[in-house]
Amino acid sequence: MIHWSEDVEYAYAVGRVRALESKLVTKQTLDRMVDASDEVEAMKLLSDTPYGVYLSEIHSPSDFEKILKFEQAKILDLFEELCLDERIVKLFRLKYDVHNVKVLLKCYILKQDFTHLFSAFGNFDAEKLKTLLEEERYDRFPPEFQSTVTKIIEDYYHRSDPRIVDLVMDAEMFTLYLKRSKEIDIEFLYRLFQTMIDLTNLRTFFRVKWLKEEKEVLRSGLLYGGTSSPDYLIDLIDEPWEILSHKFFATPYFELIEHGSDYLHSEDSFVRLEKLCDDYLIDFLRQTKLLTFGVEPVVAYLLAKENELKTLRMVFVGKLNKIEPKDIKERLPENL
Amino acid sequence: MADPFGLAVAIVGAALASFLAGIGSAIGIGISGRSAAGVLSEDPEKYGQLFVLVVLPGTQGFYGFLGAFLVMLRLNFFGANIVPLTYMQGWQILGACMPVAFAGLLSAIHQGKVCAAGIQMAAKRPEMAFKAGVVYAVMVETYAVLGLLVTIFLLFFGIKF
Repeated sequence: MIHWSEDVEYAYAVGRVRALESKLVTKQTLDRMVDASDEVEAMKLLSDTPYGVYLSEIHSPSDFEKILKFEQAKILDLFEELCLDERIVKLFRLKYDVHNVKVLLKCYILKQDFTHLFSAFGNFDAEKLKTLLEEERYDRFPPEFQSTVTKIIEDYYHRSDPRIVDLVMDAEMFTLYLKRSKEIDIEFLYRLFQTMIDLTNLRTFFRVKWLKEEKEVLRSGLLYGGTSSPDYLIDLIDEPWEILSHKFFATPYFELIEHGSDYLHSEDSFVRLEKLCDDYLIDFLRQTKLLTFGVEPVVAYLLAKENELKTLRMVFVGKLNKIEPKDIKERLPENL
Repeated sequence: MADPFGLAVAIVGAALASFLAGIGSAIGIGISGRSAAGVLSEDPEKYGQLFVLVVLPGTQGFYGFLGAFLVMLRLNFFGANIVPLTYMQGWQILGACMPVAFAGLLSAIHQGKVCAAGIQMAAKRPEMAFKAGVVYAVMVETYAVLGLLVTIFLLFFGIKF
C-alpha cells in the first residue's frame, strides 16, 4: 500500500488534470482511426480531439511526428506549470538529457553525425553538451553525467562495443531516478521507477532468452533497484518456457508473464508482452484516480499523455505502412 | 454574584465560535475553490454546476457567526443593560460556544476536501455533480448543524441567569 502525499497545495493542479483527463483520446477514437480506410482519414478523426488545433499546420499524414512533438512540448510545459516541486519537473526531463547524452556519445565514438536526433525537452542544452564533449571538458558536464561519460568513453576504447552507451546510460538514468525520488520523499515516485525497472528487466530477460544469448549478455543488460534482484532472472534464463510463468507466481507480474511469454513462445512475437508491460504501468498509474490531492495525479497524467503519444505514433506508423487493423489493435496499449 | 471576568470569558466564547468556524470555512473554501479553478480553467462552462460545491464549506462560518450573535442577544448586548454574569456563568457560555466553534472548524476543512473530490468528479461526469458531489458534502454539513444546535440549546436552556 503506497503512502500518498495528499498535498492540498495541489488542489488546483489535480482539478485541472481531472478536466484534462476527460479529453484524452478514447479507445473508440483510436479504433476508428485504425479502421479508417487510409492515413488521411485516420488523421481527420483527430479533428475532434485536442490534436485538432495542429491539423492545419501539417500538410501530410507523414508529418504526424510534428503534431506529436507540439503536444509533447505542450504537456511538459503544463507539467512544469502544475508541479510545485522543481526537482520533480527536472526528474521527468532527465530521460531527454540521457537520450541527448547517448546521441552525443554515439556521435563521438562512431565519428558520425546524429545530432538531428537531439531532443529539445531536456534540462540541459544539447548543443552546449556537444561543444563540451568535443573539447573534452568533461568536468564542465552536468555533475550527474560526468563520471558516466568518462567511464563509457574509457570502456569503449577497451571493448569497442557501442551498445555500452545504451546499457550504461540506462543504468545511470534509473539509478538517478531512484536516488532522486528518495530525496524528494514521495513513495509513489519511488515505486513508479521500481515498476519501470522491473518491466525493463522483464523485457530484457525475454529478449535475451528468445535470442538464446549467454547469461553474461543478460547480466550486463539488467538494471538494479527493482522489486526483485536481477540474479533471480539470471538463474531463470535456462529454465524451459513452459514453467517460466510459475516461477513468477508470487510476484505481481505473474499474469503479464503467463500471457506474454506463452504468446512469445508460440507466435515468435513480442507484441503481447510489450502491450502487457505498457498496460501494467498504466494500471499502476490508475491508482492515482482515487486521489483528490497530491502530485501523483499530475505525474500520472503526464505519463498517460506520453502513453497516448506513443499509441498515436503506433497508429500512424501502422497506417502509413498499410499494416492490418487487427495487427495494430493487438499492440495498442490501454490508457488511463 | 456578578463578576466582570464572567462577561470577559463569555465574550471570548462568542469570539471563538465566530473565529474558529470562520477559519474552518476559509480553509474549506480555499480547498474547494482551488480545485474548481483548476477544472474551470479547462471547462469554464461548468461554472454553474460547481458553484454550490465551492460555497458549501462557507456555511460553517455563518453558523459560528450565528452562535456568537445568539450569545450577544442572550446577554442583551444590543439593549440598554448587559446581563450581569458570574464567573461560572461566563465559563458556561464559553463552553456552550465550543460545539459550533470546533464542529465548524473541522467540518468545514473536511467538507472542503469532499467538495474538491466532488468538483473533480463533476469534471469527468457532470451528471454526478449534484447526485454524489453535493449530497456527500451535505453529509459533512450535518455535524456542523448538530454543533450549532447544541450551542443553541446550551445557550437558551442550559444556562440560567
